[in-house]
Amino acid sequence: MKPGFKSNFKFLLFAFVLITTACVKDTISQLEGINSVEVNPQLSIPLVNDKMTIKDLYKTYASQANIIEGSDKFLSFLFESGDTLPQKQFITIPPVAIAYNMNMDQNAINAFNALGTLSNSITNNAPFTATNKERLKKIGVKIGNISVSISSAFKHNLSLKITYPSITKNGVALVDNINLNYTGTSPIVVNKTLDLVGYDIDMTTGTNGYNEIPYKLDFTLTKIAGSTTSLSDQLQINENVNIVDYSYIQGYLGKFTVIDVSSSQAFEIFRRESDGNVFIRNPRIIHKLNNNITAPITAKISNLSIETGNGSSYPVNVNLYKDTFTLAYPNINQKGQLIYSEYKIDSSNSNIATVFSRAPQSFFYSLNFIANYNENVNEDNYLTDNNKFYVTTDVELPIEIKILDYTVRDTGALSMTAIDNNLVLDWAKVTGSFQNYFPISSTLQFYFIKDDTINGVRSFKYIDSLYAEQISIPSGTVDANGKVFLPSSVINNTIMTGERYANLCKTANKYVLLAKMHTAEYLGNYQWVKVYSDQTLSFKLGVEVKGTYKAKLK
Amino acid sequence: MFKKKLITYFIFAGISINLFAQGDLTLYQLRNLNQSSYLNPAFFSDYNTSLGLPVFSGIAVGVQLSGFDLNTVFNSRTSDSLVNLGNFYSAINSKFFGAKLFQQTDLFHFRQQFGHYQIGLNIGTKTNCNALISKEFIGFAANGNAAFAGQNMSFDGNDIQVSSYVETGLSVAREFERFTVGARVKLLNGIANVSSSGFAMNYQTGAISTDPTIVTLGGTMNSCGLPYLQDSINGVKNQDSTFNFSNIKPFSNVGVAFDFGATYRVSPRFNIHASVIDLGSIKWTSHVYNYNLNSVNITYAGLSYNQINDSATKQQYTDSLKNLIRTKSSNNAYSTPLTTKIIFGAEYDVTFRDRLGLLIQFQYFSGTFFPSYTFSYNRKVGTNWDIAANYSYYNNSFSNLGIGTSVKWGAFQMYIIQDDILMYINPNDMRTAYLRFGCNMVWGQHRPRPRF
Repeated sequence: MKPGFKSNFKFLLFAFVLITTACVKDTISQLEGINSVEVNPQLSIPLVNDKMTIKDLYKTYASQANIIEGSDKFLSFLFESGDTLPQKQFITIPPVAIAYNMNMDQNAINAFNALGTLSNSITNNAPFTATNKERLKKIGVKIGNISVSISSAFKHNLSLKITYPSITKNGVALVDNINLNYTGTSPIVVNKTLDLVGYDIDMTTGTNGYNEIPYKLDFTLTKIAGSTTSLSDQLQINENVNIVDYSYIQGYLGKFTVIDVSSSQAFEIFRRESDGNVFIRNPRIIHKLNNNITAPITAKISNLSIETGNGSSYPVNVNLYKDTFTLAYPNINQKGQLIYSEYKIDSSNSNIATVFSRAPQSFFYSLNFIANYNENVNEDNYLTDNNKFYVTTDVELPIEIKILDYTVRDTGALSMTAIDNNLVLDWAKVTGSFQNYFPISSTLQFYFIKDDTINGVRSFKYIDSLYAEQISIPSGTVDANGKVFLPSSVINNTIMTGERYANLCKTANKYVLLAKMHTAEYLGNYQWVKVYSDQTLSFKLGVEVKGTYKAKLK
Repeated sequence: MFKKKLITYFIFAGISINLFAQGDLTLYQLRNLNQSSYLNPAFFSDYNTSLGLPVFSGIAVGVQLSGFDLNTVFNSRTSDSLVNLGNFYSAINSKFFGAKLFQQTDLFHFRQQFGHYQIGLNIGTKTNCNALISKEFIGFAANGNAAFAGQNMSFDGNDIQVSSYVETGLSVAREFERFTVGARVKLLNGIANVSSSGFAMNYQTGAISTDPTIVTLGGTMNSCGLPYLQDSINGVKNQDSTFNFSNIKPFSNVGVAFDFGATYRVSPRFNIHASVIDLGSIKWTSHVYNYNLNSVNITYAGLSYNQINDSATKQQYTDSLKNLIRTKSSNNAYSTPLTTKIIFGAEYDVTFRDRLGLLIQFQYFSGTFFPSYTFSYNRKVGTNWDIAANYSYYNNSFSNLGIGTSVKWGAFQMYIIQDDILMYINPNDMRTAYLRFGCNMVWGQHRPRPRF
């Protein structure tokens, strides 16, 4: 190999190594200079996909989502409240007095002295004094007694038998035997009490056919030798039939109050109402009664009113003579049976439709139930100690409505998460897609606000709104009967830049959702519309986001 | 005329887009190396005997990038040295991009010529890692799905194949007057494997953000010799969550492969040759796990109010989603094919020291053939020194310059081969890095080339 070639080769090799080393080192240093990776994606993601019926919509506002569905799926709001009669004794029976005095005239004394005994039998009726025109016929004694007080001034032995033929137990009449034996002291006094628990008292066997308790006295006086008998000697019998509680009572029982019912009902569907005019086509109040009291009962509506959001009270004026109604009741042959009746107050007998157009917050009512209101003494009433009487007041608001302008406002705390430092949000576009089968149009706006104090008063400050203009969701198209036959569809978008989002994270701490609604229009006029259970509001929310994310490699 | 047609065919054969082509472009030229017979078992060496000692005999390592190079990475940087994934995606110039690593170590070889026969035995280890990723996958991550609104993005073709095995080969070659034929049968013992199959993913983004997103997933991942990745298998709690060398059982994972080759001397100066290499597969049976996802279709259209606000409903939803995309595990044996190569070549001896050659290789991977075209020049310096240089087109790159040399010093035959030397001068453009070196011991009658 030539020397020149060797040196040239060495030079070329040296140059090659130098160049390659430099190139490789440069590449390595460039690689080391890379410390993170950046991506600028634009993502499109569906977020929410749901549909709600009127029941779901109502549930988000109120817990009393009592909605009833007809066979044709037509919906009504139903608010129920009720009362139950507690166990009580309607009638208070005053004591029935039995009083009898016996003296001996001279002839009787002479006969007694000659014979050495004297016997007699007396039958009488103890009257019940009616205070309320009662005509008592039969009474089952639950708690009661006969207080007996007998005094004998005769200085002889007296045997007394008192029979109460109409006070029976298991068909056996009550009999009381009393012996007053003279032991040298006069008068001889006997005080006792006869228990009447479980006895039936028939007060129809007297002369009147009611209000009388017959009794029979059989007495025998036996002479004691050496004891005298004077004209002033007397036998005194004083008794009181005390009926404290009855297990049943029959007869005309007089006019009495069965129950007074007062209650109120909150209407949470209007709770967040701020302004508006909402008409309900056929609101009605239905009083439903179940009653097993054998007596004609008359109900009187003493109060029906509503209270609006600003505290004003508006009465439901029931037409003349329509504020009073009678209940069905079991007659004496049906005694004990529970009979149902109801009474409806609607537009035909009141101004209820007008009153309920004021978007009431609460509803108040009072009912008085009075038995024997007309005081017909020929009525044969029957009461027990456990009569059943249930009254339920249903306020039905059929969702056949006309809304001119109904605003709902919802406010709540807002917590917006700041974006991570490695992420820069360029913009986010929120797309909402709505398909509305409801016959109600609405406009929505979402406000970002911040708590503030203005002139010393707690208030809030407006920061931003989600949409530049309120978004509108038209109602479905309704037919002449107010039923939707074609839904409306709408898509709306709003864009939020990263800068705007960051500002909201720092400033806004609350939100206000404002929704204004009105029912479908036809030729410029608001229509009566009906809401059915199969009507839905379908909504989808999606978001497109563009930003930059940096991931550190070291 | 026929020869011209044959040459023309070899030059223009190959229709697929270049992605991967394994190295060994220069090795093919150095016929005196025993290692060149790994590419064509019909190659006869000038030396009767060749012996390779463990490790010293040969080590080869290589890296290939497909669809991108370092310039692609550097040019996608922003002004503050961040790599912008969107720029990177735009710069990828093929449907897929990926990387391939391979490593080969000769543990032992012995080759002896007996008259017209040549018999050889070789043992070595090979490790191949191939990963292909759909360009649209990166596009999805870089640009987001909104860039493909209303479209169906398909990420099929993603593939990963990692295999490590021991190869024990027995070769026989026979020379005739004008041609030689050879074959090698190889016993393969798998060490470890990870392979995917049938991976398919479709992502359909709605035209607007409220429209549903539909994702379809499916595919299978198999592993052998590696820990299990899930909580339980067949109802039994996972006890195999950490790597353990005792789970590597090469004698349980057996395969067979074949090499076939032939050469033909068309004229004293003109030779052609062809071979098929690595026709075979390995059956993985020991410590295998399969993770299968049966074509799951998920349509996501947004969450309901209850799913957002009610924690129980939300949990139920996420649990059902997890169950849907949970892979079904099993431990069934599976097979993976080797990456078969088909090689055609032609050489013309200008003088007895100078040889020009043309080589066309096709590598079969992931259902596609990947060709490379190489023009070569060999120079024999003296009797013991061979220099090889070549220029190749593959991997969508025209700048591939390889060199290699082998020198016999006494009984020691040393060699070093670099298939892409330009990577030292312009590493940013590098798509291939390949190095093979070693030292054999050779004896025997030197069979000189005919002098022209």
